[in-house]
Parts: sequence; C-alpha cells; structure tokens
Amino acid sequence: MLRFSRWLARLPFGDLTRRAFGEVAADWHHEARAARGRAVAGALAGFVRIVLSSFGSFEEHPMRNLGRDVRYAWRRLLAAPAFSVFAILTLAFGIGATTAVASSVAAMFRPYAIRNIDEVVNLYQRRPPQGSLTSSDYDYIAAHQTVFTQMFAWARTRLSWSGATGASVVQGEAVSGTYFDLVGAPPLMGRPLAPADDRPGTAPVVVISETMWRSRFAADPAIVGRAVRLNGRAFEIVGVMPRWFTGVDMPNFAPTPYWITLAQKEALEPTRESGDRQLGSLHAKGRLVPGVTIDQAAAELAGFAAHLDRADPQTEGYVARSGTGRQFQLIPTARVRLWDNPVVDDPFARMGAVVVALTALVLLVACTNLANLTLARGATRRRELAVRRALGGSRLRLIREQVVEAAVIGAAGGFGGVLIARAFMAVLGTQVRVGGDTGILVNLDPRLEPVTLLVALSTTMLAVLVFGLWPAITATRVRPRQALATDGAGSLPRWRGRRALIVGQVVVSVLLLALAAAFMRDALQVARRDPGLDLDRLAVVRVDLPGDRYDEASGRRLLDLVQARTRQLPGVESVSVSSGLPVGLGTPGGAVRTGVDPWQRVEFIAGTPGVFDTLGVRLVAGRLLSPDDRDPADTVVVVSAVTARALFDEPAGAVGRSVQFRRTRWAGDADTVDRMVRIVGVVDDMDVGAQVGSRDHGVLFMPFAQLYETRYLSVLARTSAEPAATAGLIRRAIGDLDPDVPVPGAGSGTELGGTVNSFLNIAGGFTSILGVVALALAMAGLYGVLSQVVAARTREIGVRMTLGATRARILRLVVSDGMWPVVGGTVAGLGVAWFAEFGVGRVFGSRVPEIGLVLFVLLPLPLVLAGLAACYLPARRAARVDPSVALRDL
Amino acid sequence: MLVSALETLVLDLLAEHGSTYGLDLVAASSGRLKRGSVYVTLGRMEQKGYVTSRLEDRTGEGPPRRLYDITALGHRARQAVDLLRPLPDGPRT
Repeated sequence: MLRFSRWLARLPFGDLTRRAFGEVAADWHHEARAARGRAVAGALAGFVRIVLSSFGSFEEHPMRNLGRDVRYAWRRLLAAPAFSVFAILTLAFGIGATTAVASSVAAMFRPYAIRNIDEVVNLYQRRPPQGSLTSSDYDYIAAHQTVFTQMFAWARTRLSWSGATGASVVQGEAVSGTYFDLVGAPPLMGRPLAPADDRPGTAPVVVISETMWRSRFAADPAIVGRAVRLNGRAFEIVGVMPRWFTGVDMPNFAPTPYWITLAQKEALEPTRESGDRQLGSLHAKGRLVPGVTIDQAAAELAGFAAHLDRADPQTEGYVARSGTGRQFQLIPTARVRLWDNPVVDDPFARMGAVVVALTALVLLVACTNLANLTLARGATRRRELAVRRALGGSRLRLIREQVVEAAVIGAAGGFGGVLIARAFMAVLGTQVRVGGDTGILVNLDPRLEPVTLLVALSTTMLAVLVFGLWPAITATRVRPRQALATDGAGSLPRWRGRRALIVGQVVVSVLLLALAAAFMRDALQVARRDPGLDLDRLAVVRVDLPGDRYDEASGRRLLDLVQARTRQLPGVESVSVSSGLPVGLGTPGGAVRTGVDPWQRVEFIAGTPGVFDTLGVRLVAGRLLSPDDRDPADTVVVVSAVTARALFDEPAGAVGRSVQFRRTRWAGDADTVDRMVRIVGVVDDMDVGAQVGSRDHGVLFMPFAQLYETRYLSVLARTSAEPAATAGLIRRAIGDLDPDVPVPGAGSGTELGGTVNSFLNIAGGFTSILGVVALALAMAGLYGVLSQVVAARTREIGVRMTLGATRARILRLVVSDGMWPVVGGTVAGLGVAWFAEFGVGRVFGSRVPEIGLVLFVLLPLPLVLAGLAACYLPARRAARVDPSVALRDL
Repeated sequence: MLVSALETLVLDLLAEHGSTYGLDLVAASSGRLKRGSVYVTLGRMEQKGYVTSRLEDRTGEGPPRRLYDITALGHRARQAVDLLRPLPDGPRT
C-alpha cells in the first residue's frame, strides 16, 4: 500500500494531494494491525476520493467548475473559428458517415415483420438450386402436416402494371391465401388476401403497399375497390398494407409493393415446373404448433419426403439426376434477414460488419488528424500553460480544461454528425431501380434507432478520447521554468509520437486502397472478359403477346411489323426476334439427347435468322440458320460448342447429326415440344444463366419460322446509337401498333443480359472512396505536421545554413524526415494487408479478390507520390530560410 | 478569510479533542468527514494557518502518522464563525 501511495504521489497531482496519499497510506498501516480487510478497503476508498476530488480543484462544488470550463472552452473555440469549424466539420462528417453506414447495415439486417417470429420456420427443399418447392409437394405437405398451425407459400412475380404513363414491370409477391393470417400484419385500409381468393377461377384481387398507394395512386382515399390492369387483366385492389410491413421477399431492401394470390399468378404467368422437379419456385413458411420442436417437425417432413419419392412417378429420373431424393429442411425464420436464406445471408452479415469497421477506420484517421492539430495548438499555448502552472494551476486542472474543450467539439461534432447521418440516410433511403426497366426497386429504410445512436455516441466518445485526452496530456507536460526561459517556439511536442500517428494513418489508407484496388481489378476483369455475346450495343425489348388475342398468324404479323419499324430507327444495324437471351434475361429452356443418353440441359432460343449477327455470336463449324429453313418436317438447329462436345465429343462432329430436343414444359402449355432436330452448325460458347462467367450448359438456336415460341419473346436490335434509348423507341413502336401488348421490359443488353457483377462494382467503389478519403486526410495531416516542424526548426535550419549546409541538403533533410512515416506506414500497411488477406478471405468467402503481387508493387507508388507532395511545400519553405533572419533573435 | 463548512467542522473537532490523527477526526465526525477529503482539507487549513501538524514519534512498523492541532488563528476563526452563525431557535436580534 505504501508503494502504491508512492506511485500515486509520482503522478502529476498537486502537493496537497500527494501528501494526502502518504497520510492515507500511514493510516492503512496503523489500521492493518487491527483489521486488514477494513484497512485495505478504507485506504483504497481514500485514494479514489482524493483523485476524484483533485479534479474538482478541492472546491466543494466540482460541477460549478465544469460549467465554468464549458463556458471557457466555448469562448476559446469562438476565438479560433477556423480550427473550430474544421474540427467540428471533420468530426461531424466522420461520425455522420459511420452512423449512416451502421444504420444502413442495421436496416438490412432487421428481423422480418412477422408476428411471434420465433414460432415461424422456413421450409426448404435442400437440393437442387435455391431450395424452392414445387407446388405439388407444397400442397401435399400443407394437406398432411400436423406440426404447423399455419403454413403459407410464396413466389416472386413480375407483372406489367398499366397506368396513365404506360405499362411498367413491378416485382411483387404471389402468396397463398393463408399468408396474411400467418404474418399477422393488419391492413391499413380494406382487407388482406384470404384463402377464398386463392382458388382458381375467383375474381382477381390485389393488395398494395402504402408506398405504392402513395406514389402510384396519390394516396387516393377511395383506393379500395378500384380496378387496375396487371399484364392486361383487370384486378380489384382490396387492401393497402402499412408501410412497415414490407413482405417476405427481400423485405429489408426491396419492400414488396403488391401481393396477388398464387392462383392468379398461375393464371397470368404459368410456372415452369410441370414434370421437372428441379424447377420448383415456391418458398414456404410455417408456424409451429406450440410445444413442437423444429426437430420433431423435420422428422415428420422426412416421412413426407420418403412418401413423395415413392408416390411420384417422375422421382426416378429426378433421383438419377440429382443423386438424391427429396430432402426437406427447416430453419427458424428469425435467422433470415436478407434473402430468406441463411446460406446467402451470413456472408453478407459479416460483410456488413466489415463495412462498418472500414468506415470507422476513416473516422479514426480523421480523429488522429484532429489530435495532431490539437497538439499543435497545445504547442502554441505552451507559454500560457507554463505561466498557469507556475502560478499554482494543477496539471490535472489544465488537462481537464482541454478535455472539456475536446468534449465541447465532440458534442457539436456528434450533434452535426447525427444531422449529417440523417441527410446521408435520406439519400440512401431513396428508391433506386436496379437492373434496368425490369429490375427491382431497391429501397433501404435506414432509421436512427437506439443501436445507431449508440454507435454515434460511442464513436464520439472514442473521437474525444483520441483527439482530446492524449494531446492534453502531452501539451501539459511542461516544466514552467524551462518553458518560460525560452520563447516556447523551439520546444514543440516530440515529433516521434506524431510520426507514429502518421504511420497509423498511412497503414489505414494502404489497407483500404489495397482492398479497393483488388475489388476494382476484379470488376475490370469481369467487365473485360468475353461473354461470347456482344451485349454492349444491344437493345432488348420483351413482348408478351396475350394468347387470347394473338394466334400464331397474327402474332407473326405483328412481330414482322415491329421488326420493320425497328430497322428504320437511327443507328440500327440488325434486328431479330428471339425467345430471350441466354444470359441474364433467360430463355424458355430445354434439353437435348442422342438416343437414350442422358439429357443435356440447354438454353433454348427460337430466333429469326439475324439473331446471330444481332447477338454477336461466332460460327465455329457448319452454317448458321438461314431464311430458307422453313420445312416443318426438317427442323434444323445450331448449338453452342459446349453442347456439341457433350453430345458428340467433337464440335465439328455434331454437324449433320440428328438429336432429340425437348423444350421445358411449362404449366399451362397445351402440348409438349418434343421432336427430332438436325444440327447444321456449331457456334462459339457464351455465358449462360445468372452467374458471372457460367458456361456449364450450352445454347440451342432454332428458326423462329419452324417454332413459334412466345415465352421470353424479345425484339433484339444491334445499334450504334444508345441501346437504352433505342429500346425505348422500339417500345414506343410496339405501343403504336397495339397499346394493349404488355412490354415487361426494355433496356440495353448489359442491363437485361448483364450478369451479376454489381457486387464488385459497389464494393470497389465504396472501398476506393474510403481509401482516397483516408489517404487525403493522412497527407493533409502530414503536411500540417511538417509545416509546424519546419516552423519550429527555423532557427536550427538557420544555424545549419550558417555552418555551410546547402539548400539542397536542407530540402533533403526535411523531405526525408517527412517521408519516413510514409514509407514506414506503407510497408507496415502492405504487411497488414497481406496478413489480412487470409482473415478477410475467410470472412468474405470466395468473394474477396486476392490482392496479388502486382498490386503489392504498384500500390505504394501513389502513396509515395502523395507523401512527396505533402513534404515538398514545407521543405521548400525550409530551404528558403534566410540565415541572417533566422539567427537575428539568437 | 472564508472558512468553509468542512473546515469549521474540523476546527470544532480539533478544539474538542485536542491533538488528533486525521483518521480519528473522520471517526469523530460521524460520517461528515471522509478519508479522501480530510487530509486535503487539513493540508489546505495548514496552509492558511488554522491548524498545525507534526509527525508522531515512530511506533512500530509503517510510516509515521501526522497529528493535527488547532492554532490560535484557528481558534479566532472558529469564534468568528460562531458569531456569524445564525441562532438555531428563537427570535433573531
């Protein structure tokens, strides 16, 4: 205890306080003889009290002093407006950005708005893709299960909404009638969908969201009962859901704007499932019976899986293809946040945390800059502090004063930060259409929630600690006699500590820039790689020909007219009609085989002969389709190389061979397309599906003249004009010919056929902005510090020059002084980045690009250049020091 | 010169008990004085000249403790405070 009191007495307390520590220690020794425990407790309490009371300057009302300190700090800030504004703005932007990013991430991971969500589970078919169920399996489970009080199924739907300004495609949810009962969300107006609405043949009804009610219907109070046209069919609006209920399909960033029943979806756009179990499209949820565990429910479903496998005649082929029968899986709905699937959600949750951490790093860089500035202010106040110390001001009192000043800046910055965060969030919260005309409406809803405010508060506290306390401790480390003897200018706080700050800043910048560069390099590689199709100059317009109004003859006539009009548009080089695009947009799909060999999946395009030119597909062997391929008895096709290889090993060997083609059968199709076709040509491979660079199956082209295909029907045009604008013109041409033909999408080939590489673009953009901001802050800090160091060393430089140092030598001296932390920080940053790659790679999974050797070599260049730029001005100023002026006052 | 309430209490206790250790003053103050504040208060009063202190003769282990006494100035300050103290009951004159 005695040793502890001696240690305490060495701290910068006043004489009275130090003596008091000794007295308490003496008391302890005295008491310890009687009762040791009590003595220890008493002594410790005494020490704590002394320390606390020393902050109150031994006055009896420390709070009164605090008020005085705040007023004093305020006056000092007003006296240095440039510093105050810079400090408050830096903090406000740093805190605002951190808070906004944290709020947005929190908004993306809000739990679903389902009543008693802990009782609800998601039901997946574990394999194959996306875990969705077929409607027949769902119907069987819903009819026989005993473990759920309620179940519902839902599927995504994209319908064309006709309006005064033309038709537009909007993505919504098709749900079973039990949906609203299970989620337990009461409607704002009217009624929700009910089981009675979900029967084939009932009148079409739709429930819309409050957002849609306000934006599309101008908050019409008489909305309930109003009729709207979806895909050309009349629907009655029966209810409006409140804004907070955003559905179950990506509710946190793409709020569902409307709900129809699954029965209506079947009638409007039959699902692609009949017979092919791989293509289920339903997602399901159930509310567990109280007392039933998720394992008990899973056991019952396993029984259903076995029964369905036995009972379903098509399972045999399915088992052969997938290697397994049905496997139903249950996951608590409370675990899903983004895509209704924890497998997809979890990596993004980790990524969200990393994004918040990266933003906070930039805030940290901003704070270290402030610390440097505050240090510099402390240096200029050295004389004042020394005088006050000489007059008996305790060091703690002076530290407290400066911390209060930092806290005032922190409070102002924190308040401004919340305002800025609100502004950022308003921007982040605006509706954005992603993926062109047929894309989804992304609408984040970040809110200032307690968690977010806590983040703002803790970042502010951290900031105050970093830039307030530490410089205060450094600045008050003055020996009054020394400081008063000199003019104070030569005794700047040690450059070593401030150099460490700059090293830290450079490390953060290097880390962020390394990540940004890696993301951008990968995005560039994806953009540069050849998809096998030329999507850049392609205009794509999807057309849905209503079957009740257009038969084959009238449909072909209309399409001929559309093509003729499109050819006359400016810049259009070639035009064709096609059943979709193999990549992005999709095609009706199908399979081919020779004899009894296994089926090979293909994307199926029925196209007019110009389709190859329009898509930019290259011929490898044989010939392309020609206008003469019209003989109904001899259907000819062109396949891509991957299919040709799968069927006949050798692409060229496929030419002239006949194969069996079966188009995917869709529910609602009158008959199956299943015929022998003759391969006349093989074209180069191209990307298929929705994955970046996926070529796991091929494409089959068939003359549109030999098969009238209306699914995914699209008009394609190669144009030298802006593709999206051309698409708009084609759309207008279709509207002129028949205003009631739904056009579910129009846009450029990259919009509608582009693969998913937006992740890389967003991640690259975000990290590069952060990296550049961090670098700019670090360099501004370096410049400021070097300027001060040079100013403080003017006299020393004068002496050196008098003793014969040349200007070049002085220049070199200052630049090397300044460049050390930059070089050190860069090396350390690259080291950290190299190590972090392992950790970060684990967090992101395969999504994170490797930083790579080239980047390790290239990355330091801009940093070193920026460092040199920051050092140059102060160095030049130093080299221009006039020795006679510098030494005048010596 | 102002005398705070805490200082008045210390003066009263010292006048009553004579030469006293700080810890004993805490014990005698029935909770009004604390270990942490008593020594700082005593130190300040010593600077003002109200009290005087001396280190005890070292007895046994541990550092010597300090004994505090009231000074003549302390007595006068106490009397002055007494004069200014309002009467607890009865009419004020």
